[in-house]
Amino acid sequence: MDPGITVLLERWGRGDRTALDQVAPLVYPHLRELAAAYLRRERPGHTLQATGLVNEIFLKLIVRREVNFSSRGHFFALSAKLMRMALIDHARGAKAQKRGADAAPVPLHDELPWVNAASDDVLDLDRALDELHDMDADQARMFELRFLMGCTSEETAELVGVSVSTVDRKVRVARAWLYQRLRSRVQRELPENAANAFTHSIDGNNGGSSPTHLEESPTAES
Amino acid sequence: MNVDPRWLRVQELCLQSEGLSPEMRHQFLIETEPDGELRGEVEALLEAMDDEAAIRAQAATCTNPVQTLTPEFLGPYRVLKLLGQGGTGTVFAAEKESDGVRVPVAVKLLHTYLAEGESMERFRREQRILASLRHPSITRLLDAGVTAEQRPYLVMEYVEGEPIDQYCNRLQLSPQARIGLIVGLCLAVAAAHRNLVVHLDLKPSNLLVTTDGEVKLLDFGTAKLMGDDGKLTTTLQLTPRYASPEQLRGEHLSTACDVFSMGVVLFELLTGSLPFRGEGSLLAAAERAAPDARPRSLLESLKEDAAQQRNTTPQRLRDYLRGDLEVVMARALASDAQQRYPTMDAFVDDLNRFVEGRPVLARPQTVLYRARKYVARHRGAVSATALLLLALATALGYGLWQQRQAAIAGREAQANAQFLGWMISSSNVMYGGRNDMTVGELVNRTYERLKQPSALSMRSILVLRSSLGLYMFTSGDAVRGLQVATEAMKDARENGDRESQLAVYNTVGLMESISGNCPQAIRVFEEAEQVYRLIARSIPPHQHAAYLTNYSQVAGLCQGDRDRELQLLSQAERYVRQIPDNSRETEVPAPVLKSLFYVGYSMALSRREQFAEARAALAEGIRISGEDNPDTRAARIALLRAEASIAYQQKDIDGAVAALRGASDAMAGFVSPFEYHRIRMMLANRVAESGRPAEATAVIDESLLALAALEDAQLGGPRWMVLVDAAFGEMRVGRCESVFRLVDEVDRVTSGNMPPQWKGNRLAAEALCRQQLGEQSTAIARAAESIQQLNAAGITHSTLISRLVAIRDGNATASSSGN
Repeated sequence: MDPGITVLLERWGRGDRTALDQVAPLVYPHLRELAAAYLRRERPGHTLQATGLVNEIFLKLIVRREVNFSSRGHFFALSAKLMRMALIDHARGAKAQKRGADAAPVPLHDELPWVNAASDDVLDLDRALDELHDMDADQARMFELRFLMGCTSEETAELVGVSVSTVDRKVRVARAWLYQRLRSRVQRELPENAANAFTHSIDGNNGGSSPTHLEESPTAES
Repeated sequence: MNVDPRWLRVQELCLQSEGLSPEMRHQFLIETEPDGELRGEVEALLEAMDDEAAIRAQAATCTNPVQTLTPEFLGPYRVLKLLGQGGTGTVFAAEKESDGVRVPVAVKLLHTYLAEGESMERFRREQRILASLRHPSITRLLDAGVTAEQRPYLVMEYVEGEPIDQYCNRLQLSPQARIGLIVGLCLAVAAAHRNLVVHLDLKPSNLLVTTDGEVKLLDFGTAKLMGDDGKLTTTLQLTPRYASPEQLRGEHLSTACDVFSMGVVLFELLTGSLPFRGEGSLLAAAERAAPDARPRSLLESLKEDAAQQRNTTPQRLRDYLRGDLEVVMARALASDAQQRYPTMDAFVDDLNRFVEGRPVLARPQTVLYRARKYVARHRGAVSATALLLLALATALGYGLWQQRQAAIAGREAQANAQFLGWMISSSNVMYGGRNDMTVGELVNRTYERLKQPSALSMRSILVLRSSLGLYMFTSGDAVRGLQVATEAMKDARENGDRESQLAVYNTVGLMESISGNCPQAIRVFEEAEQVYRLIARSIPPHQHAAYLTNYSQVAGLCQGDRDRELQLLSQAERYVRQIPDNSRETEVPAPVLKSLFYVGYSMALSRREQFAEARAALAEGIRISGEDNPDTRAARIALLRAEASIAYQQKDIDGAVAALRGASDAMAGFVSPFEYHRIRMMLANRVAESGRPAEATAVIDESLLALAALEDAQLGGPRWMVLVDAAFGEMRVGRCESVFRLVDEVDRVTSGNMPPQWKGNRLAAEALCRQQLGEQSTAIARAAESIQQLNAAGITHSTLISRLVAIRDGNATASSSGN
């Protein structure tokens, strides 16, 4: 890691999307595996519980002195971003293999029962989260940490640097707003290919770090 | 980050009105917000909030596929009630009817679904092995199965019990009783380990004590089997308080993980708090996962009410915990699994040893053992002057004394022992010259290492720093050595306890006096005396002896107070007598140390012309040193030197020559070049005085040639001392050119800083030569200075003084100076 993961994380935190390419291979394969196991229902059911995994990866980096403790917030934010990608990857993969359609829904989080993580819902959620990010980036981060990373309100508050009550308030509103967005999409009954268009836009946002690229990581399952 | 102001306003209004009824909301919004469109957004969001909440509520009661409801049956087991929920599963009390008998069981429904095929087979295989674990303290796995939804469950013996921490505190159990319970549980874990099962989740809630006081180990259901490949990894538990560092790091797991976790539990039972700070946070976990993480000591972790909860007094509790138990805990909680007890059985063994009052094996015996062996093999190390040696022994003995007192944490004891080992090996170089690494290198390396964070306590660091200063000092870098030791002294003044202060003052005072910085030396010993008075009652005899002996040197060398010197030495002798011959408190064996003391004592007595007493002291030294063998060789050499000194004082030159010949023969190849050449120079001086200048010249030349080829670091002592001896010898054989060269070199390397006695000798050599060459005025000046210095050293009448006085007063003739 020539520039050092800490530096990359900081660059990423300041909006340098290319830094993602260099850090993602450390985390992405694990998250993807975790997401896949969860969606196949092999994992404990309450939530994706990515916190433990990300903590573990982060600790390994700390122990190897490859990352500063202060970049923990960036690291979690990045991991949340990657988790979104992992879920989308899985949703698209499941779609391509034409399985998952008749499978029982898998709630993304037990406080988010209306998002079926094994369906196109995650594509809509992804797009809506980008919109939310444009309106209030911190709010989007809090939502990601709580429901994609499985952090508690306290952990989220610590990572974002706000009070627990702020987290709870912001997340509550964000959840309602996202529900509104996803529901309206369902009501409008968009044609199927529209969802694909959204994922392309996500790839564009990530500036070159397409999920295809990430899948080439040796530890990613095929 | 900028927040969209419109969105902010929407949120604000939404949160303000969410608690209101729909009518009230509308009213509130019209009153508060003029923008109709924005009001519409808020109302839509509020509606979404309500709808979303309703869906969630509904999902929570019926549609969440992983929600754990209390089922009526799990397999053939009728579920009675929910017992608890954990990270891996939910536990129910249940029963099974068998031949009309209701058998109570505990059923754990795992938070997981089995995948198809292989996993099921693996699950079954694992359960079969776990079920075969039979131990009275292990909750038996009775059965295992899978629900219709493919969720596995484990059926276990039902245990009515209380978590061990609650049990201990409720009954206010003593630390010993707590250890007893842990030992019982460790034996159960050890039994599991023998079946290649590791628990990996040992924590108080899994360690129960039944109403009968029996210990029970729960939850082997989530244990891991050690696979053929030995590869086991786990993801973080959310509360990693009891997890081993390798579990936190996600590394290779082994039985050592369980040793660590059990260590944490015991630590908590003993002190009331956990061995690592900041138990909950990720930062704390990261710190613990670091390879150099170290637990706190038991003593510094004691909770305020710890003694009360253990039905004892704070003092008794501290006494119980300090020492061996600290060592045992440090070993069990070592971050590196390699440094930990390798097996549960080893941990149990040491706990039992502790309880039975036997020495624990966690003590760093190998290091000490090697160190002792080392000293035994290199007794030459102790043939330094009694002066240096006693200071050295103070430092070494200090560490051991601490260990024996068990006043420091185990890891510190271990670290001390390692440093002691290093110091002893450095003395190898100093006196044997057989090591590849020079003293300087080793000392510098050790000093640098001391600057890094380590397990050493402040007191150990202080004592070691001053000792290293002494090494630097004696191995050539006097300036830096004094500087290092003086820094240690400053720190000791501010942060040290009295024992470390005494030890450090002792060393620095000694160095200052040898450096000729007598005012400083005296000040340091005055300070030391204050400390000594305060702790004199609580220190061991060898520390008394070291302090008093060193102080006597300062009194004699610096203050010229020979009466005080003798008084201090006779005080010291009382303590020396108290050191048992088989004492293990001194790193240098007690007989050697004691006989060396008598060497110094007898020499001091002979300087005062108390020859009978001096001979008696010498005889005592010889008696204690025992027969001549490598162990006592050093003492023998020193004794021969003392004998030579006494003989010389008694003007028995031949006797002195004979003793010095004996000493120098015994020394060859055994001691440092410094020691050897000093004896050779002494011999040359005596031989010259006995009227055999050619023989003396040969000895001096041989030594000077050898000295020139040696680096300071290889020498093993201050070069100038040998040079002054040489100058005196050269003066005696009439080689004045050489004398002037030598004293110039002495001045250069010391910058004039020498103890008065040495300065007096150096000046005397020059004065006598100047006189010989007819340089009257210089001779008179040097003679006067010399007399002044010798008087300052307490030497007021001797053959040398008479001759110097003659020169000063113009009574001397050139011809009288050559004999």
